[in-house]
Amino acid sequence: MLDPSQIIVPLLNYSGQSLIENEEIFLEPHQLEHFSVEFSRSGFSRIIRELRKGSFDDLDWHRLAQLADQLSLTHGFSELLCVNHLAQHWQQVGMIPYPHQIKTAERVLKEMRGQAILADEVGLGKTIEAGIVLKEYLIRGLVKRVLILTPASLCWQWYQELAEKFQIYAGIQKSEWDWEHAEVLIASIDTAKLDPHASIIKNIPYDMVIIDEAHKLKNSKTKAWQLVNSLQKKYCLMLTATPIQNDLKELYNLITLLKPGQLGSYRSFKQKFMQDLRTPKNPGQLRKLLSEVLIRNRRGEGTVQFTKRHVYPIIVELAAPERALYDRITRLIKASSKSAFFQGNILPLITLQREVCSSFYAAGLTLQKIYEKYNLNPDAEILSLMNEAVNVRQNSKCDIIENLVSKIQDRVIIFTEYKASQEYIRWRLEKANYRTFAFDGSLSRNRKQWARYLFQKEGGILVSTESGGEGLNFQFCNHVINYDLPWNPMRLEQRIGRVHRLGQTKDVHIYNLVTKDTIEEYIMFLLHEKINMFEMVLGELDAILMHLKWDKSFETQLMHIFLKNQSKEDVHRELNRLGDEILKTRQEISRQQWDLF
Amino acid sequence: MAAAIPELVFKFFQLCNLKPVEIRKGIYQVQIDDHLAKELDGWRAKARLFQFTFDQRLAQTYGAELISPGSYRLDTIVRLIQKQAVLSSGHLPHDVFYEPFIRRKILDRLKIQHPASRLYVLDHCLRYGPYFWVTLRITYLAYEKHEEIRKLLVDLVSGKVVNYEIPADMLKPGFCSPDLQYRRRISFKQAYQFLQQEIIHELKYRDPSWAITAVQELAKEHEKLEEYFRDLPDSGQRNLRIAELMARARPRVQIRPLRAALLYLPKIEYRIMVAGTTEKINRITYDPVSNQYEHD
Repeated sequence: MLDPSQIIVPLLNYSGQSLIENEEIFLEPHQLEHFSVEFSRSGFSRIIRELRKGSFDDLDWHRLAQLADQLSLTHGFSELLCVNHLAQHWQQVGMIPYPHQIKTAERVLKEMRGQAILADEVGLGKTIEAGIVLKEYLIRGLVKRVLILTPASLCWQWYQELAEKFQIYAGIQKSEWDWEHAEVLIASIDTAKLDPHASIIKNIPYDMVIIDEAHKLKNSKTKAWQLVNSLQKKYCLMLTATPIQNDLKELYNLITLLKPGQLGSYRSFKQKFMQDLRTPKNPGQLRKLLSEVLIRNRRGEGTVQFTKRHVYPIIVELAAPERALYDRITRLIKASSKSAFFQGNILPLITLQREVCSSFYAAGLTLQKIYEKYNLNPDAEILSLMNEAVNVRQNSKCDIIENLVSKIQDRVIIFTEYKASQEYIRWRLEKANYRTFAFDGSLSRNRKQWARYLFQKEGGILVSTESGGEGLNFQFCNHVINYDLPWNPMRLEQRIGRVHRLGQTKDVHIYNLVTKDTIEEYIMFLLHEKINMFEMVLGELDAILMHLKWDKSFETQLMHIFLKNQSKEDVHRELNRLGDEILKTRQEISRQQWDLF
Repeated sequence: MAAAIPELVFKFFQLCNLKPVEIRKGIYQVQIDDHLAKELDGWRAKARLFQFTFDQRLAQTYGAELISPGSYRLDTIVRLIQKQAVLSSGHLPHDVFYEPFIRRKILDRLKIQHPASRLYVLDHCLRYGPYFWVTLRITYLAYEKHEEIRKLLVDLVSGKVVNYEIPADMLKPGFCSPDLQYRRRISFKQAYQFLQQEIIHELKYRDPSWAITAVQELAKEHEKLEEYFRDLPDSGQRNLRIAELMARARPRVQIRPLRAALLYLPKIEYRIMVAGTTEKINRITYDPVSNQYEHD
């Protein structure tokens, strides 16, 4: 693992010289019958410079260097050099590449010649596969200049993975200057697609371009697609777990971006392979063409068996004062949703309803904000609720957490959505003599790294908010407590994904605190009982939700159900309908993917 | 080549004035200073006690760094060594060769040409010829990459490229006495041109099957691209994609001079009297390295 104290900044080649100026120059090539012959001018100039200086090295060094020259030769892709090269480092950082990852890298190098879509199911280590391919090309000197385009939130994770696992010290793009001065550069695709960045990078000849979350390039009319299409790239890797999301045209766009002509022109593709947008024709032939550029590994034999997830819903009974306050706030929310204040914008109410299930401190702060924003009169009920929220001295969830933590006796991550709840939990646990670490969006990258490092090294309890959890992995911990439940299942999956991923060697225990007779119970019903999301594989839900194309967010859908339906039965019925829709989409996606790959 | 690794590593430390100590059978230890640590592992590295082994089993058991084919540590050492000795100088002293034996050999050969004459050496003179000894990496590139090392000598007097092995271990560092040197008649630039001609000539007669296969595969890919762009008006994109394909797959041989040495190799000039019906003095310059001689 990287020692965070050693991390200064992602390094760029800050010599001040553009990399283009350092490139090797060859003399005019001689054309023979089947190939051309190119002599290096740079290499010879280097020798001439030494001659002019009259600086002659020791002959012993010369002889040794000749031996070193022999040892540095490469011969085809008969074996992966990086496996030996990194063997000891991998041993130190505890990384063992899986056989399917090595096999995939070999296929990309030998058969696909550096142009491939890595479409493994989520969690099988596409980044590792891309890292192996990249390292191999770097070691062999076939690649020098690399651009990695990812969603902004993943830039840092890419930096870390490359540094920690492959000893590739990339730069993270910050300014226009960086494009021309880094050999391996990680950049946000959303930044890269905009001018002036786009026009700079279009002129740079990249040896290799890697695109993460490549399913976002499904539409050829988007700026991102057009940017990638305009890049000069000798080798290209695209990473996605869902190469088909909606229709075959998207698949065509993706493959064509990687290797134009692989599926012919769109007209011929439609004729040969499309019955309609969603149904392929000649699947056998299409599968063959896809297999030339796309690799998809699935979970199971020959790949990876993940450790088990054990999910424990823990029902929390609110104490009488808590219950009374919860009911009052809920009544206020229902009443307010119909009032003129919140017409068209129920976001503050959603927040409040979620917070009230988390902690009254968090809810109290939001009540105060609402009170100030809408300039309510001093005798408004909100004000009395605010005071009551601050004065409730009991917190049943925290009582349970203290009890739970004492039983676990190991590293634990507690997730909450709210900073106020995070501070309260930490205060309670510290009071009970537990060592805690705060982990949230307000921390800088280095501080997050430091907190993670201490947590790994010294153990204790990490209390994290959602935003803090993104981008960092904690496979060394296998106990997760969800202090409150996010309404968006994706966020819940992201939380669990921080610990339950490749590299986790133990079964993962997930404790979900669910307050009885509150909205949390409904959410638990939907996620756990209805769609069984805890059994889903990491990332599957993401694909489903993207496929659904709802016009409202998941949270808003839920809030509408709660506000519109008064009785428990009605809410259940509506949640059932929502769950059915998700399950149906899940089946559809898995059918599409399995048919073709 | 694996057998050469320990030799390379120990020689490397020796040239760095370091002496690894075998602290346990097969495990060596050496104190490396700040400077060398930084050269090997980047600017963050510091002086340390470096333990290494050539045995994978020992590396796992004792946690010493493994130096084996392809290992990270071997790569760092190799790269560091390769940065050294871009240009060196040396000479091969005459005493490597036994002059009376050479004299006998030359006379025997001349006897065949002049069977009726008496031959005797009037005098001889020991000289040195300047040579440009260049180590080249030849890279065969298509979808894959194969490399080889060639070491060629260019005679800086005649411009001839000779490609025989010189006894590198017998070379002595530095130059010989200037009085004994032949004057260089061609420039280093010309020498590089002669090398190029020689290599092109060699490549013409090499087995081209690797390139033929690559050309065939390239043609297939090219055809696919052309078919795709046939109906599309954007010729800029077409050119870009074709350029990428060429960069990836076009068969080519790249030749990089890695290092060179200015060598002075021995020559022996003989004045030999050929006495028969007439008397004639033959001037012969003998090159003991290539075992060839030239008449003036």
